[in-house]
Amino acid sequence: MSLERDERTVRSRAVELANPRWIPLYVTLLFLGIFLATVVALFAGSTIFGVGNQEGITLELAREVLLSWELARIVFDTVAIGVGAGAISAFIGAVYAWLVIRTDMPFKRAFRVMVILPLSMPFIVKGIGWISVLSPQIGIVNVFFKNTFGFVLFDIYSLWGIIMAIGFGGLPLAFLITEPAVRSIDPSLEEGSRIAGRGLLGTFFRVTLPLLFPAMFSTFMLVLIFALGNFDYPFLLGSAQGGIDTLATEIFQVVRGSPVPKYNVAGLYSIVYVLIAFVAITVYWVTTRKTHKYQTVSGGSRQTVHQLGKWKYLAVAICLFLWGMSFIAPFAGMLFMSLTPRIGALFSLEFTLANYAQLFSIPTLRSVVVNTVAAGFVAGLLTALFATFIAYTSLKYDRFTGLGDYVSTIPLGFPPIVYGLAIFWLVLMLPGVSTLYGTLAPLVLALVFTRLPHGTRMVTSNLIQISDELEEASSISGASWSTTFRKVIVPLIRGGVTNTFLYSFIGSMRELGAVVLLITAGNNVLTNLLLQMYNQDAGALPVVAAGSMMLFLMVLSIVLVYEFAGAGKYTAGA
Amino acid sequence: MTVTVENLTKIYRSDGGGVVAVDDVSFEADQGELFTLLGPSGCGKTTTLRSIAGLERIDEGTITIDGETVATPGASVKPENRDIGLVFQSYALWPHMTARENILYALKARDWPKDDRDSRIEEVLDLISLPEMGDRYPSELSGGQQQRIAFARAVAYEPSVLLMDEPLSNLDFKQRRRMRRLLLEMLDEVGITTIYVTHDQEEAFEISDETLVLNQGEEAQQGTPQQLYEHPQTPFVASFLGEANLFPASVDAVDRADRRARCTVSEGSTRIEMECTYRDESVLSNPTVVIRPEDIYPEARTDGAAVRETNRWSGTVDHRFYRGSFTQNLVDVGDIQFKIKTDKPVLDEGEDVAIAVDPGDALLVSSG
Ligand SMILES: Nc1ncnc2c1ncn2[C@@H]1O[C@H](COP(=O)(O)OP(=O)(O)OP(=O)(O)O)[C@@H](O)[C@H]1O
Ligand SMILES: [Mg+2]
Repeated sequence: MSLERDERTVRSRAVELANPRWIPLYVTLLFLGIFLATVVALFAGSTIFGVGNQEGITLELAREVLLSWELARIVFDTVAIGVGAGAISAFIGAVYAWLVIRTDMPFKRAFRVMVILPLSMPFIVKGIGWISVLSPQIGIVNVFFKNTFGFVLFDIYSLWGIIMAIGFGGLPLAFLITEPAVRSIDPSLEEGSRIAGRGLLGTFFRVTLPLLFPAMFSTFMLVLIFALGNFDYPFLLGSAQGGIDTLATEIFQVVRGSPVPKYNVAGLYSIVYVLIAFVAITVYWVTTRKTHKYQTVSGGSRQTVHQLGKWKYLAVAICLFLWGMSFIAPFAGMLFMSLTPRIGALFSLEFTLANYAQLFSIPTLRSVVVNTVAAGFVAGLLTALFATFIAYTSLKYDRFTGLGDYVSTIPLGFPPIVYGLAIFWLVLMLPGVSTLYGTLAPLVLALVFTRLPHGTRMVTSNLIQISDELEEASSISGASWSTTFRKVIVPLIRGGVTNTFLYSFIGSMRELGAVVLLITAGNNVLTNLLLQMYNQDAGALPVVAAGSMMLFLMVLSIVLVYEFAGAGKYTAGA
Repeated sequence: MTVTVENLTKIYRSDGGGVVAVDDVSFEADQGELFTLLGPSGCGKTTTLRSIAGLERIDEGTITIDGETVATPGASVKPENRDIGLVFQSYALWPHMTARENILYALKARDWPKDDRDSRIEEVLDLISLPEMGDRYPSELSGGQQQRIAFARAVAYEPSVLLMDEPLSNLDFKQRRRMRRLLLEMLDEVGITTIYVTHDQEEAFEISDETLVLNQGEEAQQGTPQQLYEHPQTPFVASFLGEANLFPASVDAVDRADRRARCTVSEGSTRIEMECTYRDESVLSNPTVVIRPEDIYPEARTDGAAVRETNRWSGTVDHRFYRGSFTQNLVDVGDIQFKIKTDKPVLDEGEDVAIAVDPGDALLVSSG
C-alpha cells in the first residue's frame, strides 16, 4: 500500500494510461477511428477521385441533381415513410408491452416470447410475404376481395403500404425499447389513478402513456431513422414496381441499375441522405440524452399487474392482431407462395415442393448459406463487444459521457446503403486492403456499423441499472478493475449483451441494404441472392419465397436454440 | 489503525460551476475507536467517507491510514489497495451472488489463504448470527439481513479500517434499534477502527466514542457525545443535537471570574434580562443563548420554595404536545417563546406560569 507516484510525471501518465480500466475507452476510440476513416473515404472517393474515366462531383452535376423535382419527390417519399412507420411502431410497441407486462392477460409468457419472432424474418422476406398477401394482382387477400366484393382491399405497392409494412414490422424493436420503461413504472402511480376513480383504459391513456412517452419517442425516432435508411421494403414494394423511390433505392439504381455505375450521383445522393439522417439523429440525440443521466436503482421492486377481468379477451385480440400484422400475415403469404405451382394459383389449393427443389439446385447455394451464417456470427460477436465497451464508456466515465453517447449514436446518421458505399470506397482507397474486396470482411464491417447503435442501447439500458456502488464495492473488496468487470459487471449485463449479440447476428443475416453494394461473386449472401433472383425474373417469386422460407428457418433456428439452451435466456434477460 | 484526515476539500465540478461538498475538514480516528461523522443531509458525510475509501479524487488535503499517506490531490492509492472495508448505505450486495459468494469474492480479491476461506465465511456468518442464510441471494434476504451480510462482507478480510455509510437508514425504527446493539457487539468483537456516517444524532450518541459534526461541508464541532450536547459551540450544533432554545442576545455586563454574563434577549416588543454562562470570551461579541428545554423549570416544580430573583419570567402556556414519556410545552413570555420539556403533563394550555433557568444552563455560544 504505497502512494502511486503521480506528480504528473510523464512516466506515471503512461502507467495510468496503461491501466486496464481504460480499455473500454480505447475500444470506443478505435471504433470511432474506423468509423471516421470510412466517412472520409466515402466523401473523398465520390467527390475527388471518381472511378475510371468518370469524373468526381462537379458543380454542374451538383446543380443538375440537387435542384431537380425528382430529388424533391424522392426526399418526400423517404421522409414520409420514416415518420409514418415510426409513429405506428411507437404506439403499438407501448400497447403491446403494457398488456404483456402489466396486465393479467392470458398467454403473457407466450406473447413475450413470440414478440421476438418477427425479428427472424428478414425484411426482404417480409416484403415478399406482403407481396404475396396484398399485391393488387396476385396477393391472396386482394384476389379474394376482388373475386368476392369486386375491389382491392389494400394496395401494398403504395406509400401507405410501405409505411404499414415497416411500422408493424417494428413491433419487436419497439417492444424491446419500451419494455424496460413499462417495467420501471412505479405501480403506485397507476394504482393511484385507479383509486382516484379512473378506469383501466383511462389510466392507460392518462397515466401510463404519458409515463411511457420518453420510451415511445425513443422508439419513434429509432424506427424513423431505420425506415429512412431501409432499402428492402421501398425497393420491393416501391422502386421495383416503379413509382415510389427513396434515397436508398435510388443510390442502388444509379450504381447497380444503370449500364455505367454513376458513383458521383450516388455520392451526391449520399450527402443529401446523410444530411437528412443527421437531422433525425440530432433530434434523437438531443431529446434522449437526458434519459441517460439518471440511474434507476436496480433491485426487486415489486411488480403488480392489473386485473383485466372480461377485457382480457380484447387484450388477447389486440396482441394477436399486432403480432399477426408483424409476423403471421407476411409469413403466411410467403409460405403459400413458396408452395404454389405457379403465380396466381394460390386459391386452387394445389401445393408443390418443386420451388424448393429448384432452389436447392442452385449451384452456389451452399457457399451463400455459409457466407450468410459466418458473416452474421462474426458481426454479432463484434457488435456485442463494441456495444459493451461503448456503453460502459458512456455511462461509467464521468469525463467521457458525451463521447460514448455520440459514438454510439452517430452511426445512425448513416443509412446502411451509404455504409456499403463508404466501405466500398474505404477498401478501394486504403493501400493494402483492396485485396479484402470481395471477401466477407467489408460485409462484416458494414453489418457491425448498422447494428451497433441499437445494440449499444440494449447494453446501455441494462448497464444503467447496475448502480456504480456495486462496482465500487468490488474495488473496495480488493478486486482490480478487470476482475470487477469480468465478475460483477459482465454477469449483471449478460442479458443485455446476449440480446445484442443475437440482435446483431439475426439482424446481419437479414441485412440487405448495407451489403448490397459490397457483394461480388465470391461473397454473396442469402438476402442478396433473393434480391437478384427476384430482380431478374418477377415470375420467380415462388422460388424466391422458398428461399425466403429457408432464410427464415435458419434465423429462427438460432432464435430457438438460444431460447431453449437456457444459458442464453435472452428473453428472460430483461 | 489510525485514520487521519487533514484539510480535506472536495469539489464536484460540473458545467455550471462547482459544489464544494467538503471544505477543509480535519479529524483523526484512533485505533479501535468508533468515530462518527454526523450532520444533516447534503453536508458532505458520504463524500468524506468516499474520499477515505479512495472512490473520489480529493482537491485539497491529505488522508493518512496508519501513518501512510493514501491520498493527496495529485496522487491516490486505489481503493483495492487500501486496507479498508466499506458498508454502503444501499448495501451494494452483488445480486447475482449468494451471501456466501459475496463474502467469498471479497476474500479471494484480498488473497485470503485458500484453505481458510470456507471457515472464515462460517466465522463471519456466525458473527452476524446468520449462519443459515449463506446460500440465499440478496433478493431473498430482508433489509436487516442484507445489512448484516454487507457488514460481514466488509469485515471478512479483516481490513484495518471499517467505513460505514448510514448502514441502518434503510431499516425501520425497531430494527434500527436492534441492529445498533448488534452492530456495537459485532464491532466490539472485531475491534476495528470504524468511521461511521449518520444523520441521526441519537444513533451517533448511542454508538460513538467521538463525533464530528459537519455542516454544509465544514467542520462544525468535534467531541464526545456528552461534550457536544452539553457544550455546543454554535447554534447549529446545539439545535442539530437535540432540542434547544436559541435566542440572539446582547451582553450588558460580564463577570469574568465566574464566566457569567448578564444579557438582554429581545424579540418583538419584549425584552428580558438573562444571566448566562460562557466558556470562551470570544463568544461575547456576538452571542446566542442556548437553553435545553429540559433545563427550563416551570414554577410548579419549584413548589414555591427558593423563588429566584434572576432568570425568572412569567408567561402563558401556548401549546402542549404530549409525547408519552415526556411533554413538550411552548410558553410565551411576551413575544419570546420558550420550549420546555416536563416529565409529566403538568401544564395546561392557556395557563399562566412562571419559568426559571439556572444561569449555568443558559450557555452563550457564538452566533457565527
Ligand atoms: N457526484 C456528485 N456530483 C455533484 N455533486 C455531488 C455529487 N455527490 C454529492 N454531491 C453534492 O455534494 C454535497 C455533499 O453530498 P454528500 O453525498 O456527501 O452528502 P451527505 O452528507 O452524505 O448527505 P446524505 O445524508 O443525504 O447522504 C451535496 O450538496 C451534494 O449535492
Ligand atoms: Mg450520504
